[in-house]
This record gives sequence, C-alpha cells and structure tokens, in this order.
Amino acid sequence: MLSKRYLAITKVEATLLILVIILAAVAGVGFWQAATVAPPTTTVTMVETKTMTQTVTTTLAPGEAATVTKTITQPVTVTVTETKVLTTTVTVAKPLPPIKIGFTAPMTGAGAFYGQQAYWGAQMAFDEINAKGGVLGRQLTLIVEDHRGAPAEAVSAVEKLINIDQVCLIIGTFFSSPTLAVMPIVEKAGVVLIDPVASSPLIYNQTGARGNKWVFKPNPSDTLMVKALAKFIFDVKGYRSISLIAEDTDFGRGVVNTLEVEAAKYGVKVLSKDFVERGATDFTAVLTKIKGLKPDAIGLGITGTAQIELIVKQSKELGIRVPLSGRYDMFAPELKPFIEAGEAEGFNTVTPYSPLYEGGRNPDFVKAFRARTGQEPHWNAFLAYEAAYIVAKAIEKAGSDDRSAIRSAMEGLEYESVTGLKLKFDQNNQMFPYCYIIEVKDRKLVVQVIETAPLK
Amino acid sequence: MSAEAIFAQHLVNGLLLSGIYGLVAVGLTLIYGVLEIVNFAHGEFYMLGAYFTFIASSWLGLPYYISVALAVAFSAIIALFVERGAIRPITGRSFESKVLGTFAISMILANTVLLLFTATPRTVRTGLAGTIEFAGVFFSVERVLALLAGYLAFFALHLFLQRTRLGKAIRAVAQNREACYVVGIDPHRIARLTFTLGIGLAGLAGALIAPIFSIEPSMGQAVVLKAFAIVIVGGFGSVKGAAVAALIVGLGESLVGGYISATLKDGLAFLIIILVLILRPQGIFGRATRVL
Repeated sequence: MLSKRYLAITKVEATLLILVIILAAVAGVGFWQAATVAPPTTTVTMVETKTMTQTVTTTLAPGEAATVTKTITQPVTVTVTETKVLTTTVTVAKPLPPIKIGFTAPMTGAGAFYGQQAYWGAQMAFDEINAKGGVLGRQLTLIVEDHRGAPAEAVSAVEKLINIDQVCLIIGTFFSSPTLAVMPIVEKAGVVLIDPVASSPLIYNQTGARGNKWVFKPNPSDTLMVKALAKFIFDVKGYRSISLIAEDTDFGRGVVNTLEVEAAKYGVKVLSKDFVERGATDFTAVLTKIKGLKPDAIGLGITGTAQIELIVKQSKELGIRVPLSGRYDMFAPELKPFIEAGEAEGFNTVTPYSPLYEGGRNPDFVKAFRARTGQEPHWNAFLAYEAAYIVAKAIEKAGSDDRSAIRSAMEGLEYESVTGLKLKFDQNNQMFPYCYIIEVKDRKLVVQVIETAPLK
Repeated sequence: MSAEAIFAQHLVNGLLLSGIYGLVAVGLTLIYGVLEIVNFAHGEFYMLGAYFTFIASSWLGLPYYISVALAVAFSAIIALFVERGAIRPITGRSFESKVLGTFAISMILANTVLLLFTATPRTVRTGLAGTIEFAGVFFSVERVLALLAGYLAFFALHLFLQRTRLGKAIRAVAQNREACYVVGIDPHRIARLTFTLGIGLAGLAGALIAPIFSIEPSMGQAVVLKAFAIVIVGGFGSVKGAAVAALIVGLGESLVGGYISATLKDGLAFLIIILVLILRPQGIFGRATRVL
C-alpha cells in the first residue's frame, strides 16, 4: 500500500489543478457560446389600423327633410362628414412545415471529403428548389447524420433519422458496405433510401424487382463501370497483365471480382490480388511485391483520399513506374501535386461523373458549384445534387410527404439529368447515366470515353 | 527487379517497422518492469506524438526536426500529468484497478483527439522529398530518417540503462523493489521517471512515423496490439527481449505482407502471441514467475 503522503496533493499541484480547471471552464463556455444557434424565426401577425375619412355630399331636393329639423325652402347642399374607421387585420400566415429529408454520409473519417462534397451538392440543389418556393409550397430541409464510413454507425444514423427525426426519405449512405447494412432496415420501416454513389453490385442485385422495393439507385454499378473501363484498358490501351489491390469491403471485393472476370474475357493475366483493410496506411509490402511482378498496370478498388495519396506516394518512393487503373478517386485534391508534377502520367479510372464534361447544363452547374464552395464538384457532389432533384420530383408527384406515396411516385420516375441525358428508373429501381473514362495526359485530366449503359 | 532485391526491399521495410514497434514496445516493457502496470494507454501516447508533430509542422509551420523534438517534449509533459493524476493512485493496487485505470486513460485520450480533430486522416508534410536508391533497394528520405532516429534512440536507451546511475537504478527497481529501499533508491521517483521515459519513446515513435503514414485518432490501437505481441514474445520487463521480438514481429509483418497476403500481415502479431503463450508463456527473455 502506498503511503498517504505520496498520494497527497501538494500546494503546487493544487494551484496548477485549479488553474487548469478554470482554463477549461473558460474555454468550454467560450466554445458553447460560439456554437449557440441563431435566434429562431418568429411568425409575424400584423394588425393594421387605417382611419379613413369619407366625405359624403348629398344634395337635398326642395321639401326633403334631412335629419336636421329644418324645413328647407330652397335647394341646399348639405355636407355631411362621416368618419369611418376601417380595421384591416393582416395576418402573415405561418409557413407550412418544412419537408424533412434525411441525409447520411461519411462526414468525418477516411471518406470525409466525399461526405462533404455530397452534402454541398444536395444542399445546393435544395437551396435552388427552396428559392423557387420549395415543393408543394413547403421548404425542403436536410437532416444530416455522420456515419464515418462504418456500417454499424450507418445503422444507428438511419434508425435515428427514421424514428426520431421522422424524415420522409433518406439520401445516403454513399458507401457500399453501410448501404448494404441499412437496406433491410429501410425496407422494414418503409422509408425510401436513395443512394446516388455506392456502387457495389451486391446492392444492385437486391433493388427493385429483385427484392428491396425501397432502395433506389440513380448511378451506375461497379459492374457497368468496370466493364466500361476494362474495354478501355484491355482493348484500347492494350494492358496484358494487371495486379490488383483493393480494400476489404464490399466495394473493393466487387471491383476485384469484376476486373478478374473482365481480364479473363480479354485474355489478360491477373498477376496478384491483395486486399488491405479500409483506411490502411501501409501499402509498402504489397507494392514491393507488385514491383517484382512487373504488371502493365495496378488495378485499384480503393476509397479514401488519404489512401490513394499514400499509394501514389509509396509507389513513387519504391520507384514503381506502373500506371494506376481501376476505381479510386482521381479527383482527390491530394493527387493534384502528383498529376501536375507529371508523376501520374497514364493513370486512368472510370467515374460516374466528370466536371470536364461540356454537354447539357453541366458547365453551368460546375460554375455555380465553384462559386458557392470554391472547389471543383466531385462526383459525390454532382450525384447528390441530381438525387436531391429526383427526390423533389418524387415528392411533387406523390403530392405529399407520406413515405409510401413517395416510394410509389419514385418507381419508374423520369428525370432529365444535368448532362442532358433522359433517365428513368427501371423495374430494378436503377437509372443508367453516363460513365466517364478519365486519363492523365500531359499533366492534365482528360475525358477519353463516355459510355452509356446498360452494357451487355 | 531481381528476387534478391525484392527480398532486400521487404527487409528494409520490415526494419523500419521493427524500429517503430520496438520503441513503443520497449516503453511498454519498462513501465511494466518498474511500475508493474500494463499500460493499455500506450498506443494513445504514440498517437499523441504523431498529432503533436502534425500541430507543430502543419499549424505552426515549424521544420520537421523541431516538430519531432517538440512532440517528444509535449508527450513527456502529458506523461507527467497522467502519472500524477492517473498512474500514481493505481500503483500498488489490485490488477483490475490497474487495467481499468490505464484503459480509461486510453479511452479519454483517443476520444478527446477524435473530438478535437475528427476521424479524418491528416497528413504531415515534411518537405523532405526524395528517394535514395542503393543496390536496387529504394528508401525514401523520411523512412531513412525514421529508421536511423529509431535505432539511434534504441541505442541511446541501451547506453542509458547500462551505463548511467539512473539507468541502473531503473533496472534495480525492476529487479527488486523492496531491496531498493535498502540501497537508497526511491522507487517512486524512479517510477515517475520510467513512466515519462516510456511515454517519451512512444511519442517519438509516433512523431517519426507521422509523415510516412497518415495519422488518425485510432492509429494507436493497432500499434499497441503489436507492441503487446512484442512484449509478450520478448518477456514482460525485458528490454533485450523487446528488441529481439521487435525484429521478429516487424520483419515478419513485412515478409508476410509481401510474400503471403496483405490481409494476413496484421494477423501475424496475434498468431505469434498465441504461439508464444502456448510454447513459452514467459517469453524468450522473461522471468518464469507465477503471478497467482
């Protein structure tokens, strides 16, 4: 047992402790005040009182009596002044309650960049719609929940949105594994989930007529996108061998599976296949192995902007000169210095959107987004923007914010994309917008091919 | 690239991991040896070292070397506070109190950083670009630095423990606490010093690794498990054991990741723990004592 003297607080320690507590309290109060919400909006009832003086002139005929006891012998003009008091009550009607739309995305964590972009996209769309009067005379509001990329947290987020916030539908989750985790939940609760970004084929195998009628996918699946990419890299670029690195998630495994199938079709050899954990930081062992195998390209199935930066950085450190292909984020801001320095020549990928596309209303969208956020729109932003408009259209068509009515309205919904393409949900609740094959050429991103689907 | 060069590359990558894991593990083993506390919060101090480096280099714009020094200094300062507030009261208490105490510290530190910095990974940029090539093996400047600094620190620690009075006092307390009173060594003072030293080493490891991999609040949890594997293999309380075991685990992880599968490389540490506990529970250099 330790002596009491050893554990007793000395005078110096006591002073320090009190100082720290005071500092912490001050900082805490400061933070709390800074975070206090703005004053709530008030409903205004205006009462206007107008006093009107009306002058009534009556000409009395001879012999006609006015209310004065006077007999008039000749025409007299009597001016009667009446004072009328008019009370006008102008009540500014309390606005109809807003329509609550749930939104869950990776706002923090390895995918924070995507969540942020998605939020910007959706909010921009809703601001535009609200400025024009909203939907059914009601304003659309987003209720945001962060799932950090983890399926378990996505489940909590979705349950909170459904049960506590009582949203009429959910835009989310933007990641494949979390969406797969919440799909049974939204089906059971009877709430539409529209996920405009997640791309694992496992999701698409279950939507619409294939099982889950409450999940809608307006974006192309990895099966379609990787098929389009495979045609480009194996046919056009002529890669004969490839090494695969993917994250150990439904997304990563889906990309690898499809790439393997496609490689077999084109007679391309898969030299290695490695899975890393989501958010992994150490790719040195895998990259060293790949360096020895000397493939024509490295096929990736990686989310996470930090991850792609580390892969490029560590490849460079190991002296690997093999181009990166597959599905990863070529628009990640962390990659810009590498692209501009000429260290990413020949890198290519397939994406569901490119800000470089000049068709339709895309250039206007890009300009507006840039003006609003100071950044280029990522596919997460664009697809969330489109999803928000699809949602508004569905609510309009349903005529209410009733959850089942929205679902029925969304089935088979037609929507004209910002790119100009006319889209419609098919019997599997899927839409087929463009896929873009993007390559780095001369230190710049170039759109090489645009594919429409469904591809055979 | 030839097979020998690939193997050499894996070895070099593994040596870096060994150095970093070793620094973390040796702190853990010292703290156990002297304070008889299993420090479950050790990974969080490694993480704090990385975050202090991030703050110093990215927010304050200081050069990398100074950031590392500051990170170690701040880790030591935090260690003093933690020691006074959380470690001292649990020293000498039951095993459950010690475990819960350090576990609580771990939770508090990890979640405070999560709250302040969010889970988004951060990158520490050192401005030290460049790769050195030697006999077909590639080293980035940052890794070379981390390797050298790590092993230098290890060597300095060895000299400190073997040659200086204070170092010998630390070893004395680890050997036999009661006897120290007889020869005039204050175990409490030595305990404070050892804790600060152990945390400082973990902070240094975090500071060195920060520019190589990105940092995020849960980075300590993965590393502390490997540090535990090393300490178990080497024997609780043995610095020599920690050094040898660090080489085994670090090199093993790199070779498994390169030749077998990247998914399995993190599992190797656990596999080793199980094997050692079955075959030689006290570790290679551990004392075969019975706790109960």
